[in-house]
Amino acid sequence: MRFYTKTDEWIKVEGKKALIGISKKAAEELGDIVYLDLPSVGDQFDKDEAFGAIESVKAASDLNMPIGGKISKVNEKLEDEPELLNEDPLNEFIIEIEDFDEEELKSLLKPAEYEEA
Amino acid sequence: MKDVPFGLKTTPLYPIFKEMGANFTEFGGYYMPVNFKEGIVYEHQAVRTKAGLFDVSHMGEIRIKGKEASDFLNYVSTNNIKKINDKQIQYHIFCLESGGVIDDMLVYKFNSEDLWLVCNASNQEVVYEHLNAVLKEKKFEAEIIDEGEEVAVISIQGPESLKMLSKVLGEIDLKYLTFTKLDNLIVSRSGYTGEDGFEVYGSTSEIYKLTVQLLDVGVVPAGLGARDTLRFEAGLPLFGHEITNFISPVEAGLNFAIDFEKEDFIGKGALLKIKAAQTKRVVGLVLLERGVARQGYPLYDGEEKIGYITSGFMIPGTKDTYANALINANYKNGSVVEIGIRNKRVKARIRSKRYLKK
Repeated sequence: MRFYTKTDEWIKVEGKKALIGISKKAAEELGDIVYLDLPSVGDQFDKDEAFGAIESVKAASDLNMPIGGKISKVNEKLEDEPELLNEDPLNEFIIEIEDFDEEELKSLLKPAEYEEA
Repeated sequence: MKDVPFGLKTTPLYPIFKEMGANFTEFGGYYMPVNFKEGIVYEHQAVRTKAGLFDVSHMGEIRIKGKEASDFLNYVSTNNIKKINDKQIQYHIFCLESGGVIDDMLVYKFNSEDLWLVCNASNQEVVYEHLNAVLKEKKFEAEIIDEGEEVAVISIQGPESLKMLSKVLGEIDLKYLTFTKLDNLIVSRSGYTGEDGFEVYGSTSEIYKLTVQLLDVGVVPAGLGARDTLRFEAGLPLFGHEITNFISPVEAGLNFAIDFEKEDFIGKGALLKIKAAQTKRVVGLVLLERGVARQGYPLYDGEEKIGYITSGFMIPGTKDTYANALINANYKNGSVVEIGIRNKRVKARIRSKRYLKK
């Protein structure tokens, strides 16, 4: 199951890891994505902290952690092809995290709640 | 599709663009298309290679009429309207006494006693108030008429703009920065993209009709997003970025639009001082590392802050990233400085502000 933040990130837990990306709505509103400012593997962030930034042609927006955790992987494909996030935002993760507390997921929005928000 | 937010105006073309599914944003008190479905990259490239259409009806139109209309304009503006002929267009800047900028605009000279100012949407009230205040104090024989609400305007830009516009309006024979009356329309060869292009002014119903016809023959609708990236790539200043209440036209490199030979004009004393002192200037930067520099980001030389970014983009369709910045004038073209982008430092080299390679 995928959870959403009010700032338009999604998170999907897969065993001991979780993938994080941006919602379809966010990708549409940003328009053409041209660059991602991404963290390094091993970096640690708290819930709601900015872990990077996404640049569309127009402007920069922060990327925020849906829950706290340690970066275990970064989607390196996006460095050269950031436009993949426009094409398929739900299947292109931005970062993968580990060492998180699943309890923190409870404060996030379920898909239906996100649609309505 | 969201409704128009409370308090915002729309232009006569809003229904067409809403129907097309454009993304809208607030700009200068108007609810304007920022981009259409295909996106800014597509629109930017359409203008560079074919022809694009912008709705610029939100801009302000103010007419100055009367025996001393030209003297009046020459007193509030840095430029000299007496240097051009009737039916020509000239770029003007209104300054504060401090030398900072109130607004920049194109002036259409119908004749020396009938001048038509096209200014930025966000500044039209300020410009109108300023003109009235100066007129009241200096008592030029002239009147000021606000025509902003009655006029709709579209801008057709790109190498195929002449071909496309001729398909709809018939043969057009205009030199750059001139205008003519065509039935009830005013057509000028002008623009803000670095391409050949035209601006057409008319009643709301006529511009609506013309827009539908131009879209039908294949002109690509473009929004404020592409307007900004295009003007930036072409090295053209934008009020609120390269020129502001605190950045003078001298610092912005717009001396071509200042006639210091004129006896007097508002801001002349301050501009002469700024010109002599040369402490700051607006420069171009090419980023030497990955990142995009946005307005307000600081510039550094080691730990010393030496300026800030005024505009910055990755040119649509490329990986080339450039920025304009206001910088301490000691730094010459070719110098390498650092931009603070969030928690990083990114190196950039100073260069000219015109990034367009043609």
